[in-house]
Amino acid sequence: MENEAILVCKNIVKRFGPVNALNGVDFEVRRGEIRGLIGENGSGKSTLTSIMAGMQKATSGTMEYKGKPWDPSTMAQAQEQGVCMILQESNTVRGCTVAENIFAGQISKFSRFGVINMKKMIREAQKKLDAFGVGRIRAGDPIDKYTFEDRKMIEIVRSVSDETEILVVDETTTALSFDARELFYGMMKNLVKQNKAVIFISHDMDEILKQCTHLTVLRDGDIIGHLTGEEMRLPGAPEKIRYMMVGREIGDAYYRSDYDTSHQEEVALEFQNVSVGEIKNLNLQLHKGEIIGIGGLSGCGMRLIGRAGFGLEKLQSGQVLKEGKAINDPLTAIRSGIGYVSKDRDTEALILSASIADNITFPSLDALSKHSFIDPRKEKKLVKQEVERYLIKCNTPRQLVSTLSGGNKQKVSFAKWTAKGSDVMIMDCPTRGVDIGVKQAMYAFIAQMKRDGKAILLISEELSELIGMADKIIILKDFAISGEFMRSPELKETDIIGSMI
Amino acid sequence: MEEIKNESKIKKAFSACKAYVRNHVSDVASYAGLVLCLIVFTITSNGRLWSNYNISVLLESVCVYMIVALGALFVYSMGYMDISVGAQMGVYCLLMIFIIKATGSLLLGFIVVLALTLVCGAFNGAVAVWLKLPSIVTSLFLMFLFGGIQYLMVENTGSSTVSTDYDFSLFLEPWMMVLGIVIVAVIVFYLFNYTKLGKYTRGIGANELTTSQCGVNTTKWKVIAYMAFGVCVAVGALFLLARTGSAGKTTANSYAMDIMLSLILGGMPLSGGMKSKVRCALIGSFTYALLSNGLVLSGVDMTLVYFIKAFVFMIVVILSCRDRSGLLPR
Amino acid sequence: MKKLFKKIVLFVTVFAMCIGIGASLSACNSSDKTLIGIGLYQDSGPAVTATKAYLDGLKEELNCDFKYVTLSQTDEATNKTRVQELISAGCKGIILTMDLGMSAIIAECEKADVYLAGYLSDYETTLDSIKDNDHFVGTVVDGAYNGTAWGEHIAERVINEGYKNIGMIKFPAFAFPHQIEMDTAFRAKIEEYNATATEKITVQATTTELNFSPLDAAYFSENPNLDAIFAMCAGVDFVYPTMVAQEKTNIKLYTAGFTTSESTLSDFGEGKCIQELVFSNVEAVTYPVVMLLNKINGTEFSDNPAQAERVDSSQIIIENTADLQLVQTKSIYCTGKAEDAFLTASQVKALLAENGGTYAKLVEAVQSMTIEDLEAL
Repeated sequence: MENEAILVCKNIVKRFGPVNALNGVDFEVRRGEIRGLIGENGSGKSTLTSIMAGMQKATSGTMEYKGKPWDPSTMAQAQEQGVCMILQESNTVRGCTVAENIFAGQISKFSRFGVINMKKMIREAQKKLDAFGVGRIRAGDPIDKYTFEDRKMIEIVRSVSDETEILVVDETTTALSFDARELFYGMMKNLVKQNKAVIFISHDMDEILKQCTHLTVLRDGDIIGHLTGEEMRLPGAPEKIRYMMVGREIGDAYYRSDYDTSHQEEVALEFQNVSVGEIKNLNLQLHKGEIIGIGGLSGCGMRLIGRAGFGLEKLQSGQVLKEGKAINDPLTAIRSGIGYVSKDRDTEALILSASIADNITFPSLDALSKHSFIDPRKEKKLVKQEVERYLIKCNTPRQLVSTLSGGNKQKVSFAKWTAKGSDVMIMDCPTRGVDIGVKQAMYAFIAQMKRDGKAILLISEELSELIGMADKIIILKDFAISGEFMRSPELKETDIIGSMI
Repeated sequence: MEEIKNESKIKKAFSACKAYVRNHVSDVASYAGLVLCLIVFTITSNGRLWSNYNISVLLESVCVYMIVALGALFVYSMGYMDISVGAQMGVYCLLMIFIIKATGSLLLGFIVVLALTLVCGAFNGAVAVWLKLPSIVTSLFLMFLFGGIQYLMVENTGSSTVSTDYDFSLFLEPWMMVLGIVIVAVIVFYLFNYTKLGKYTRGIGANELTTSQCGVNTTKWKVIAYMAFGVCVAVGALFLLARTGSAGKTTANSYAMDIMLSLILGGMPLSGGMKSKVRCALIGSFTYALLSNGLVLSGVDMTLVYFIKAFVFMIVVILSCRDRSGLLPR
Repeated sequence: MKKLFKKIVLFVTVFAMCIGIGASLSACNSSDKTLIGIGLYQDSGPAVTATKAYLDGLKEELNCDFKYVTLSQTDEATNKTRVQELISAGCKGIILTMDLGMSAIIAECEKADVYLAGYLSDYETTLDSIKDNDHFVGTVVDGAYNGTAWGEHIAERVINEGYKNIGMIKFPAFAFPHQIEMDTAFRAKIEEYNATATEKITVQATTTELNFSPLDAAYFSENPNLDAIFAMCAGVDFVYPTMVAQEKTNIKLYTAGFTTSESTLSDFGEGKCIQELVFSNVEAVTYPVVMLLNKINGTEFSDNPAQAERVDSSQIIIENTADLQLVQTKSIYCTGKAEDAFLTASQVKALLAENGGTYAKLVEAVQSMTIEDLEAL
């Protein structure tokens, strides 16, 4: 027997100028289900849910909520009626207390004759926090005291109330730590028990498979299919879902298929007793033709290693050596052949307002310039070669990077360094926010780089990625190495998690 | 049949035109501003705008703006500004007059000024970085410093203006002014489009963090950009001095703002970055000079001049600053 | 490279097109009226309104037209540009209120065969170098060139009205050199009085200079116990507001300058703060207009001076509320009506050389515009 449908969307169309984000989607959410939404970037997941939650209006189509027409004009209105959405970005108000954040917009509840009863508000807020199992967060504290993850939890506590009927979770969990995720999953299950519904958007296939009771796959603004809980647990389901998302066979060669951990003898990049930030006396040798993966929970210091390797951090002691040359700043790093793909793609790795061509040639200008003159033909040739190598989807290399999808942007930030001919690549979460099709391509490029004798330092928050790609995995915990694992077909995530937490 | 085909062709061409305009609003706006000014003033001035005399007049006033604006391009493309340039030019004019009076050599005066502009450029660029100050603060400091120097220099002579009898007529020859503009424009065009200097300054304006992670020593290039500006300021000061042969306590002080306005009229984003083009300086300074010239020629009431200028300015800014990206969320 | 070429082509075509349109239009040129360009140092205010009103009243009778521009107080080159633009617009004569960039401007006028005259400006720095120039026809000063007379006049008032502690404020010497004479004359007169008087008058030892910014509030603590201030500068604009803000309007203010602001004027007169106001007559512009028209028409006075001259003009000195009333109702400066002017259009026309006017008559006309003359009008 199927449960009652709370929210029904009929023939929803959304256009952004000439682009169709949704072409007439029919979608329903039923009580008691955790409905997963999956699809590549730009497939319309966020657009669809944000229309439901009142963040934007559909171009055409109708919605029904609890049997009545549904057309919320703002997110606040939708939330009042019980449809609430937790966004990817954090939007807590800085400089206020936790309680003030939780009851933002409802302060009048606690005020009498214009005086706010702070004690009562804090008490109520604490009750809510406790109910979510995050009692360690104190409602009276200023919010700035808490980390990004905790603030995310506070945001969740704020959004969800007794009236909530449908909770939309848009890639929120990527920001959360292992513990917080577990708490969060518990909360979702709790809602479902109360015969409410959750819509869950994530890029993480494992997470979706584990948490959702139903799954809907979107591609290019169309719903491709629905899967029930049983279908999702069938062997081979992940491949099937990937196929639905991408529209073609991904095949087995998602990660590296070989287990050849051999590399050249020559050391390409060496950390000698490096102390940087809270990391003390780190020693690391990266050889030519080797992929070293660095993993850990976010905030364990793995980003620092990458930044130090590229000369972006001031070392307290020790040195980073590339073929005997000390790396103290990005210029020396680049000149000696190191490339760095930053995690903050849009703010650090790319100039969004510049063209693809400009971005690709930027690190190479120094080398291209001859008697101050930079030959446009040489530039063009270089760009053409890189665009073809990575199959960057664009009308012309003069197109602005800001107009590209996440995956293509990432290709551009790879292309910058291959154009320069870097032989050591430091990659910080290179597949973050990249959809499956491009991810696969990226892994192929990384494997190719290894075969070409390049040295790769792969920093990643995704364990499966490290297991799938790295010759050696180094796990960091609290700014110190807590475990080292060699590549093998037997290596499982569960073997590694122990040294992370 | 043929007709329908033609019609669809026309439609296609039309929509292509529309798309082009939509994607190049700022470029089109700056051109349109100029062309509109030209057409309107031609009519309202009874064609006097194009008399030989007025063209030479226009050339004279455009010349300084254009040369300085071309140099300013390097600084503004980084998203920085220099408000000391007016006071600097005032001092340079005075300095050249004093040196000419003492030695009779314009060349010597020019060389001294050139050296000084390079020092100021280095100061503006480097000190801002060392002290982690926004460049506007260092240029503010220079503005007051040079304003004071200018004041003292004139005060010591006991009159309100200083002048020289040196024969500047060579620099007032139309061909000389055109030559000056062309040489500066060609050099700037080359530096801006075909060398690291232009590419790096635009990169710094668009995203300084990325630029530095691409191995660019941003401090060094900021200094070089300011120095390149300085050279243009020196040349501009020479042409400015040539126009009147005299300078006073506040000579040229309005130039800092004039240059900024010119560039904005030319479609230059104040945040700098990739949309900075040489064209911004050329068109902008021409439109700016044309505006006041045309309004006077058309006999517009003085009190209205400001409103009209403000109006034209607003339209160009609104059109050129309109955000064309960000249609799609995430 | 192709793209670059395209860009250049586009640029050149647009340019050429415009030049083409322009050239075809520039052939036509209308109006047989004599055009005179006027460069003022400010773009609004009662003086500007009154000047325009007066000149508008003359247009018909003199068969000429006027074109106005605003000059720069800071940039010689800008002023040259403004003059050039006036010449471009077809002006045959130009009247300027500022002495900035003159040598270049006179050279430009010579080149274009356009005549130049001054108005409310003494051409302190450049008169000597241009008075022999055939294209400069002379200037009329903002009041008296020499400040002695007014300085003595105020001293007399202060002595008669019995004020004993006088503050002194003026503009910097580079801009207003003749306020030094004013200052000296005032002090000399007071000293003369002190020599015999029992109750001596104290005068602020060094005169405060205002660099065209309002008086600093600290002035009153630095100079306590003042009972009167002699502000040679435009005190209504630069001193009075500070006095109001500091609640020091019990001090008497003698100053040059004028205002049409009701709230300020209500504090004028016996027992009030402001004791004296002065302004120059806009009708003084008659002098440069007549001199220019003579030159342009190719005529000359029989008693024309050999060199271009600097001529004083009479000022309206307001000492009491009766004077103020008179000015407010009868002076063009306040009413803005051409019919309130000292001279009618036909009177001005009669001053032209071709109509039998003489230089002596012209000078007399601009020097007989005092408050008494206004009363008699």
